[in-house]
Amino acid sequence: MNAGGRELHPVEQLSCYVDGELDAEAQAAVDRHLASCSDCRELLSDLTLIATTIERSDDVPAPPPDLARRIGRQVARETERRPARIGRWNRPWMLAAAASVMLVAVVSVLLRTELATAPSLTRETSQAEALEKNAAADRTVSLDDQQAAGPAAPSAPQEVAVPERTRDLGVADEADGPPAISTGRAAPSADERRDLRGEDAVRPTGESVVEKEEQRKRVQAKRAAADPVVADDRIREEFSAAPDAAAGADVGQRAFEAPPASPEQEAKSGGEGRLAERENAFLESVAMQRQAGATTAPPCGALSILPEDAVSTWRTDRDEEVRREIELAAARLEGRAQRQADGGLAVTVPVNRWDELRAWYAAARGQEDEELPLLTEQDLKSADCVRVTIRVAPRLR
Amino acid sequence: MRTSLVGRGMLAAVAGQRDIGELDERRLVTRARSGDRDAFDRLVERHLQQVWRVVWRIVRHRQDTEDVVQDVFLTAFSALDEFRGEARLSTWLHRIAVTRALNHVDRAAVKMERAARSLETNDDDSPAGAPAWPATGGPTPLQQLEASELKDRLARCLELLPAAWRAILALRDGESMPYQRISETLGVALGTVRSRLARARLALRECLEGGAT
Repeated sequence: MNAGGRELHPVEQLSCYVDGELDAEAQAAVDRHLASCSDCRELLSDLTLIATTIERSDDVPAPPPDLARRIGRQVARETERRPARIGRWNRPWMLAAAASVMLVAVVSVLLRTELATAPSLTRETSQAEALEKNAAADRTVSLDDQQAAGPAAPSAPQEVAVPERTRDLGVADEADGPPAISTGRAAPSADERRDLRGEDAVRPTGESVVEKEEQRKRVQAKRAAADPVVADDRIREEFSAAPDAAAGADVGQRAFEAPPASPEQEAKSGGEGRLAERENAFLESVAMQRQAGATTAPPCGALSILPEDAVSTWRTDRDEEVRREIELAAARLEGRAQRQADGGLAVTVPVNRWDELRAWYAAARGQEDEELPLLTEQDLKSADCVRVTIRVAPRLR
Repeated sequence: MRTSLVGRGMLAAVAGQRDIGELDERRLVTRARSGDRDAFDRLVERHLQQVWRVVWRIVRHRQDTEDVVQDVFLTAFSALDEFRGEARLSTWLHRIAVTRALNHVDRAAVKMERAARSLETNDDDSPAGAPAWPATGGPTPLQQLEASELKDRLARCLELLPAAWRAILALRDGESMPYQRISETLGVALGTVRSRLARARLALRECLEGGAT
């Protein structure tokens, strides 16, 4: 144990020696070294003394006698407070049952749609309604087809009543293939969103998809121009129903809901643009729900979230849009973003995706420097996930 | 011969009890997973003392230990679905306990660890990462200390150690865990366990000696 003429002492081996964790050969080598090294004999003696003193140390206080009971009560409270997270909706068969229930709802909607699109419709208003319903059917029929083609979902109790409004998302969430937003992929493109809606998968009888789509847009624009509030409310009602329906799958949190528009936003945006905006928001929320739904628990296993107190403020005039971007980025990085009461987001990502989040955050804000902190070696070793709070605040004037 | 048979019988009985214990624990886990809180309460009772000791040895503050221990079991209940039974439940719980306890220790502890790295000797040119050991002469101060004095100093020095080092000492010297199990519990390589433990003990020795002179 001599290197470059300097005497070296095998501290690590001595520590293992104390614990009896050396194999016979290594132990013999240490024994030989000890025979000729008084420093190491002293060190070994001290290390043994330290280990024994800690081992025999009786300075650990006893836990309070009622601690187990308190833990039990806390678990009970937590179970009541978060039934969706604990022991209820994280059961695969329940998710499958929810999917089946949604399927029943979809089928009933389809049947009605077929009736509503009968050729006897002549007045424009009736036609508009029929087209709108056809559009809704487009989003669901293809999913129905996919259900039929793919493995059948487990059957659900048929007596469960299903609100009609819950049709779209629930089925899309459960019946479709892999998540639209998967690890490392960008947000769904327009084509992907169309696929998600199943627009190309359905060919309504006697009517081309292109024609129907154009007609639908014309009618909706007309309706929105005539009565924007009414039209928008209808859209909102349809879109906001789905996240509620899927709330039981522990993904129906505020973070995943389509955002309601403020009166100012209502006034600013036009009918068609507003529709597209809402549709995008809705489809993104679907994709996010699927992403979140892919695992029934947070990706970090809820084990080791760093007490990362990093807080960053993103000043912007497009606050809601920014929040959505953050949510999508978190979903893409196998994490999640939960909205806080103050409008900020608690973003949690796995440790190994942290650098990507930092890079994305800097790029999204047009900054060269990465504002979010680097992880220390200790952080990397001790945590599975990292959390950062991003506050979204208006620009300073 | 008779003694040998009795001895073997006793060994078999002990092994049998352990098997029954593990089987029983698996059943409790299954029941707890399906929302049976009584089953979870029994698991808490079983593991509370061990978890408490580990957390206390890292946090070294009674009220904080209470908070962390509660957090550990609450986390375990929430994440029970993710426990696949590949490792022992106690290993899994220890991992949660260590992580939570380390998380609880504030940033000052992290800073302290960084400062403590300076205690690590310059080992760039040492074989197998073994630090050079300065030559000392005469009897060690530690051996001359009274047992009670040594304990007091040890308690003070443990508080000064980085939490990650306290954690490894808690598992090895506090819970007498073999290195392999420490490696599984902390999710680090065996070599890391060895080196971290050696560094922790060396730093502790230096601290104790510093207080002794």
